[in-house]
Amino acid sequence: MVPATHRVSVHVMDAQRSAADGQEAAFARYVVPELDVLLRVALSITRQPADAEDLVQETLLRAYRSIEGFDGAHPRAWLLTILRNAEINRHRRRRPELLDDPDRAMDRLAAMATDERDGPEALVVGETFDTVVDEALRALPDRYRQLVLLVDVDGLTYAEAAQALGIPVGTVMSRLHRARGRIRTRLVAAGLAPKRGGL
Amino acid sequence: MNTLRMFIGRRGDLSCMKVMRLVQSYLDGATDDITTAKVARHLADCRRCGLEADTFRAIKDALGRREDSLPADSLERLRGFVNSLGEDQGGTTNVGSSG
Repeated sequence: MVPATHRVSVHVMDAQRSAADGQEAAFARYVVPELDVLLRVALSITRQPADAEDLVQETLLRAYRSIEGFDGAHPRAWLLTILRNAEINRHRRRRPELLDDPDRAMDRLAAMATDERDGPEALVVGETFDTVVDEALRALPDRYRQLVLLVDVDGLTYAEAAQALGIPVGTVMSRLHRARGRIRTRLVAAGLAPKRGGL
Repeated sequence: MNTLRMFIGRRGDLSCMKVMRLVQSYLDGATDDITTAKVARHLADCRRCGLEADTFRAIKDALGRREDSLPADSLERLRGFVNSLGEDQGGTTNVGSSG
């Protein structure tokens, strides 16, 4: 004869099992297909493959825990918001000194990194268009570079990029405009693009 | 004539200033059909704006050509992590199998 307590625990286990199955089905349906995009976005945001992997792992864990509350609409947007929050948390843990104004601090770092290679000797004879674009991209402040990567390399829409970075769509548009303007300025300096005509 | 077009635009047309504000969204495919048609018409007609748009299109193309293959080992480990999420909860479904 099976003890009553055991029967109850079997029922509880069954209930837990079916909840877990539902959770996994939802996870497989909504999250797994976005894995590539999440890693791509994480790479664009963190620049470091190891950090990107950590960030995606944290995002997956958070998504798994909250999948039951997800209504199934716009899984990518939902995941990008989770990724964004996980990234904020990661920064808080690692670099509390940047909390005051992360954008400005990252700009300073970017400026320090680029100052040294900005001299005329940095312009190598025979540079191709793509090389200059690549250099210009790396010289951009973080908040511009991330956005250009998300939209132009990762193929995110303005709304998705806004979600990933936690900024309004209007800011996405204005930052893209400025970022590409800066890339263009470098191309003009390298003689690879025409100067702007008087506007 | 050209100066007028820079600031005002001809009847039904966009001015150069307006087109320059819209050109990024236009190249990203984020403008509505009517605006897209208007910007395209202006770019075909106005050499200066056409050159600007060509430059930005070339920048966008160059960025799209960047080597951006995903690190296969990272992806592999993450797929493994996805599978372990199911196992930890005592489930039987392999959640990574459909991706």
